[in-house]
Amino acid sequence: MNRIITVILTFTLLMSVWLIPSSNMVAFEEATDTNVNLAVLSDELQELENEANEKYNELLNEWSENSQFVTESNVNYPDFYGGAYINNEKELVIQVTYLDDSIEEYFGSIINLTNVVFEEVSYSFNELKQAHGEIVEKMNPNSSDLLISSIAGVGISFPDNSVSLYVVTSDAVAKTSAFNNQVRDNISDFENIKIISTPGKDATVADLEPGAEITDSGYTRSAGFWARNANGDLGIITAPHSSISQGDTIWVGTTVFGTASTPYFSGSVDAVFVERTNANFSATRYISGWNFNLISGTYTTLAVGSTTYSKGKATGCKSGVIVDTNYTTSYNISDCVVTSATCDSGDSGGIVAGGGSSSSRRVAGIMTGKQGGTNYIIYVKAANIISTLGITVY
Amino acid sequence: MLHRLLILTALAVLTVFSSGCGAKEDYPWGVHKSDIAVAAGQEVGVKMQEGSLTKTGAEFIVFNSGEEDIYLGVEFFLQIYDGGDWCDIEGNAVDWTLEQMFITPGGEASQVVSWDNMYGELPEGRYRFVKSVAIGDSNEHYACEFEIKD
Repeated sequence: MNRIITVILTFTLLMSVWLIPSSNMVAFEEATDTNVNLAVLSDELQELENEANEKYNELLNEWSENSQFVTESNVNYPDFYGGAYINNEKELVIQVTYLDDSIEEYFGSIINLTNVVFEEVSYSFNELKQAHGEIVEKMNPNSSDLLISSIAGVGISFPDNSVSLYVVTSDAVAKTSAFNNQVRDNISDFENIKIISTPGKDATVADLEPGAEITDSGYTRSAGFWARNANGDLGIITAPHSSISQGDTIWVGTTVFGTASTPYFSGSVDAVFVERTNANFSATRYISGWNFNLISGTYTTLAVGSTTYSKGKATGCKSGVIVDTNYTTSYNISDCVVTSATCDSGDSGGIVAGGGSSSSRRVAGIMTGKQGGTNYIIYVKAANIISTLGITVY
Repeated sequence: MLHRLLILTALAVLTVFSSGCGAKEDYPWGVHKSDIAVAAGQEVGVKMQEGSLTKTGAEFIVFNSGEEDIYLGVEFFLQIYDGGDWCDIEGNAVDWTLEQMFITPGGEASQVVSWDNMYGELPEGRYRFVKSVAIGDSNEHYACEFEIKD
């Protein structure tokens, strides 16, 4: 719980800058890279912000139980301390439950009060922490109580001097007195809870590696490689056979990953681009087990005798030697490659790579089938996938 | 010595002609006695969709009345009942796509199959369609019997 408080405090302190309406946006410079949507502080404001943070850390050091290793979790906050944040002018705002000369002198004995302002608030940080902790204890996404299960997160807002309760509900419902009464009766009777409606719960950002398991309705298969479609959208390539249709939802475990575009299962292609619709999945070129990265923007056409490095969810990492580069499968996919690594059901769509070096290899294709009699991997060539689907290797 | 050798030879010939699996019938492919154990198929099993059977294919339904998810690929094989034994049929090797089906408890999944590439048109006989199914850490074979009549 202490670690949660640490993360929340740090995040809230840094983000509190953005909660205060700004009338001084000219202080921010637009990043020169047009693909990056970030505002950059001017040097002057950055310096002021750095000074404010140094003072904040001096306070934490002063109150810390262990001055050698200060974290916000091992700090003994004074009962009159309400919190602190950096305002838009990059002043350190120190919140206190009462303000008089003795309070100012106290803080003045610890830090330089230049660019420091004081704000009187109703609740001390210790009171906010206690209320926050009580709600955290109740959080349970699997609760049979609908309200409890809809708690998406709990935070502390210093500028509002409140506990922030994030609930999966509509904005309209969150504003009703009935809902507020429900929160009071079932979650917390703390007087200053700010209810924030949210469309979804917090989710960790996860990589979807080539070779990892993906599922669609009734089937499991493997992710091939990350790619971009003609619109620049990110997604993964896998092998649909005849069991994925356009518009099908593709999952990773119980989480939606994306939506299938037009599948191709004829000629020399058994491939589909699955557009990522869940930004909680991040693209990666890294393949664990092999410990190499796929090289961006390129592919390779391997000759007979070349070594292949494949990964699928059923058989994991396998290496093999190419035995045929002009193979037509008994289910009529032509211009395929057979390599002497074995495979099994579930490996469909899994990555096949080759060339490069032990740390960086090129996409050679994705697995489509198992050769009768040998159980060798049959893969469709990357060149055919790329030209038919109009994608580029991420 | 020669007398004993003749008796042994005669016994060997009799053994060959009296064993099952290919000894009495003329099949378009080789057969041999199978050592694959097929599970009873009560909670998990295979049944045929009524009316779907032809000499070159059929629709089969794998059902799961058990308590765990089951997993299976598209691969299958046929066996023929001959001479009192179930026998593997030595058909043509074919390639298989690599998707894996999963069936949750209470569910079922159908698979329309054609064995034309593997065995051609089946001659008259008693057959069974066999699937390998993974349940937890174990693999079992489940089968559905059918008959081909001329």
